[in-house]
Amino acid sequence: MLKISNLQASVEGTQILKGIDLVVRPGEVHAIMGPNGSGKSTLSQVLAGNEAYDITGGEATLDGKSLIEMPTEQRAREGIFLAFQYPVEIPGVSNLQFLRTAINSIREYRGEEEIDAVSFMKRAKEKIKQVNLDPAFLKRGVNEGFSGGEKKRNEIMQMLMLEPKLAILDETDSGLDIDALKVVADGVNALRSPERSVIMVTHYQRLLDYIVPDYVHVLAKGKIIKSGGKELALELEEKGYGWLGIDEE
Amino acid sequence: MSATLSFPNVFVDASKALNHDEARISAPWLVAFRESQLHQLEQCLLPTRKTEDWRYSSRHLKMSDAIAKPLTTATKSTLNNDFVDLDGYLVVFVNGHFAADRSRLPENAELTIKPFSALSNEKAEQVLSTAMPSADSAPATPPAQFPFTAINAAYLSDGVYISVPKNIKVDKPIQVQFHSEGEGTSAARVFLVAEQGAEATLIEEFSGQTQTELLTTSVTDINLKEQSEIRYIRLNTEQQQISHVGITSVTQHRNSRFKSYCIGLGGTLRRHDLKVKLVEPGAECSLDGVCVTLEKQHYDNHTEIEHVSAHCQSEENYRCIAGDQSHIVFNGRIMIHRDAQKTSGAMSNKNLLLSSSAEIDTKPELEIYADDVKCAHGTTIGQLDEEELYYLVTRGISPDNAATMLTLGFVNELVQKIPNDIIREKIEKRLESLIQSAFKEV
Ligand SMILES: Nc1ncnc2c1ncn2[C@@H]1O[C@H](COP(=O)(O)OP(=O)(O)O)[C@@H](O)[C@H]1O
Ligand SMILES: [Mg+2]
Repeated sequence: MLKISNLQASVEGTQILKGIDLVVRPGEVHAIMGPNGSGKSTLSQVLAGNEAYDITGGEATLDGKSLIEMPTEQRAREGIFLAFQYPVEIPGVSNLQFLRTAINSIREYRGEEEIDAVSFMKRAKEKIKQVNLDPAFLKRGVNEGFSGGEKKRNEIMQMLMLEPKLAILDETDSGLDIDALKVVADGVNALRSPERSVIMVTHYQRLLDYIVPDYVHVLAKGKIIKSGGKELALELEEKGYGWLGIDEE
Repeated sequence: MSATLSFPNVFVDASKALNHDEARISAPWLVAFRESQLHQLEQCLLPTRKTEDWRYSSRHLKMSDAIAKPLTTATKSTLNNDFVDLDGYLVVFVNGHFAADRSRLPENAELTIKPFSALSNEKAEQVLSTAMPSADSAPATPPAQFPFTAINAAYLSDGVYISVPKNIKVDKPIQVQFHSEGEGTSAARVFLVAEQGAEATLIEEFSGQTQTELLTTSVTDINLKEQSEIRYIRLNTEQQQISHVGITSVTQHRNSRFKSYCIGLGGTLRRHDLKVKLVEPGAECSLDGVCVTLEKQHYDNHTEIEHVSAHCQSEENYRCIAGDQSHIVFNGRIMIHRDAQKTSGAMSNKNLLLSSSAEIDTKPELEIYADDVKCAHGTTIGQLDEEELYYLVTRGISPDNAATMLTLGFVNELVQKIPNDIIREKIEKRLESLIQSAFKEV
């Protein structure tokens, strides 16, 4: 599915990612952990196609197609979805209009017909309930006036609507209470299938109690310094990052 | 465009010729009125860069001898499908002349909607004298600085008189359509009185096309008596070669409510002046405006809210979008007289530039002579937000579509307030295709 080799990226001349290697196969869930500032969001953004970051070396492919030169919208149409750590508010563009345009853009790319209005509404209502948001939110502006937790749930809602091949969750668990955390976890678990993969960027082990990863990686100073199974997360929880020779910020 | 123009002589001469052309005299009072207004026109100057009120717009004025021709009724009018029928009362003007066969006037006594040409001499004179600023209330803009009202008066071909009687709430919209084509100048008027407790929605739509040069002048007077409410929607969808200068003057009495929704699309020269006078306590107005220009188009919004009386409220929200090499002007004046204590006023003008060669000039003008007032104002000029664009694109939406969505989103809140579904949907579609075209060409 996703293959990253020796990926290097910089922002405004400062190198942030210093050679990342990672392989995610279909159906796998990978957790990426690491202290603040280690480059987790940078990696997520680079994969999603944020042009603020310059890729200075290495390669990343999705199902064999190089992502490096691929336009942002095409990555989404190929099946990448990024749940933002800090989703923006877009007043004036309703969630419904936004979701429908997104779905139809993806469908058009795949040579499919536009979704009909009735099944779209049905699906939107179903998914918004699934993430425990008031269906009235569908008519509001995208994330407009949403609380932090509501924004995170709205990201999951979008993910459920778009059914990506590869979902990247950038600290979707941060700042959530336990109920909201369960909603997010249920959403991700509902999407899990042998064809879909998930990369979860997280700070805390607790999300991993609800979404059990196949692999855990530790990112520090722009490099993956350790990889392991789900037990690695527990070990990190217990010992912190110190034992890996990283200063915690 | 022909270069030389002796202004205002060509217009004065054309008006005189009009008054001598037997074939074109529909009513004697019309001639009398046009003649009585000629002296105003004779004093007019063509605005220049130095005319304060035209500082930003005079360069778009392209007045020529050809344009000075008073328009006759179009012989084979090609009223296009730019207009939608709202299934209410309908008044149609073609080149400023009333088109009875296309209009749908009320058949009951509950509501008067009549073309000026169908009024008795006395009534017509009464209407026109009320509509014209009287000696004791000198117009805020002297005709010498604003010749278009004087041109409209000297060329006046017809108009519509609407009177909503006491306590009558008209549930169907009153739609007035102005269609222009050919070469020259059209001049029609709307005069509306809402009696005590009356309510109505007035919709003015302008449309038309020309191969040459065409100027639409429009003058609308709205008088709201005690406790009445008027919702006013104004939309121009004229082909961009057409110049359009229009003025809407509103007078509000005790506890009346005036809500306007002005949608302005750019053209060679476009200007709309909206003047609201709150003359008795408890009057409230809310003025919404959406303005979009592309290519080399122009649009000038001049608004003026005059708080004459105490205890009145005004609110104004204008949002403008300028793309390509186009140019928008927003001039928002609020004047609070010395006796207008306990006034509450709020004015906001937000602007979006879609290109670095577009220009928006925004100027709030506050004149406050009372001391116990609340008056807030704010203007912003910005561009599309990169982070918002990126967010949409990460969901598979193309950059063009994302930019279109955000641009429409910028005015959506105001568009959604338009109190007629059919007209609102028409405006939504029109704005969507306009904005789409702005991003598609890149
Ligand atoms: N847009 C940016 N401009 C400047 N510096 C940035 C930008 N994004 C990230 N950085 C820097 O890159 C480093 C990694 O940041 P980030 O990827 O957000 O880390 P994490 O998500 O692991 O906390 C930090 O030092 C941060 O300050
Ligand atoms: Mg981060």
